[in-house]
Amino acid sequence: MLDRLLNTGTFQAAQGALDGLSARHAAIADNLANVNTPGYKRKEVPFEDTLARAVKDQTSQCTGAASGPVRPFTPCVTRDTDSQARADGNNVDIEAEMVRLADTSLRYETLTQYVGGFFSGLKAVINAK
Amino acid sequence: MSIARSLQISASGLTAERLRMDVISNNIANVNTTQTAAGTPYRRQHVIFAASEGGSDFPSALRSAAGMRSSEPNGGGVRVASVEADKGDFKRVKDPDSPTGYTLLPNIEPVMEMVDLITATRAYDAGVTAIGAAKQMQQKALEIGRG
Repeated sequence: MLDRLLNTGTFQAAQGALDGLSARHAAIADNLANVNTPGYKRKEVPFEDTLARAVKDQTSQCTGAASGPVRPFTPCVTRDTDSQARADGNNVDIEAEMVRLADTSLRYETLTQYVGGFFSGLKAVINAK
Repeated sequence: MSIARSLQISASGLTAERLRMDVISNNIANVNTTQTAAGTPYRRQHVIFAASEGGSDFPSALRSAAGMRSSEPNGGGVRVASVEADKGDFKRVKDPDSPTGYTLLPNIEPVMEMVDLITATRAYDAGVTAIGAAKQMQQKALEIGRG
């Protein structure tokens, strides 16, 4: 019974996004740690499109809502080789990384609130309060 | 456990920047050192960083020994590849008391060292901020299902 509540597409999409965001956070931490490493190319985790495709595949034809379980997906780490590099070949922009860091934590916190709210709702129903 | 990994990555950055600051302090302290064990003036030291691509820490060594494929992208972080001596020429200062007419001083520019120190401090600050964000995210994740 709980499986049917927890394996909904929306819930699993939120879970996938949390995974993606924590992988992105690790990539940003890596970029910041390597800000003075010659030749380092910044890492990024563009997981949104992959996750959107995984969710879309499971979308119900009738309601448009994500119905079945979302296909498991792994956030991929890619290298940004296009950005303008400094003289030492490093292309980490510390300000841009700080903005991405703030953005990632805010998105993560929003999702934890959503998932938390989902569980409190479930709890309220179980306790019939 | 990606958040724990972010913490490790940021910590490796802090360690590396701290070592860089130590080397810079050593350079500044020795700006007037004319005698070393080698008989020459002190040579400026500088730190070479390299991105560490994993394989050295325990979890990844265990995974590769067991032939397991990691679901997480491997490694991350930074390591100090080496501390090298600057090959630049020593500074020559006129010195009438010396038999050669000049004294050799270390190849250190204090202003350059200060600039490097600021760069290292900024990178250290960025690492600390990233750790703060990781802690906050972990905290929020623990609050799921509470209350």
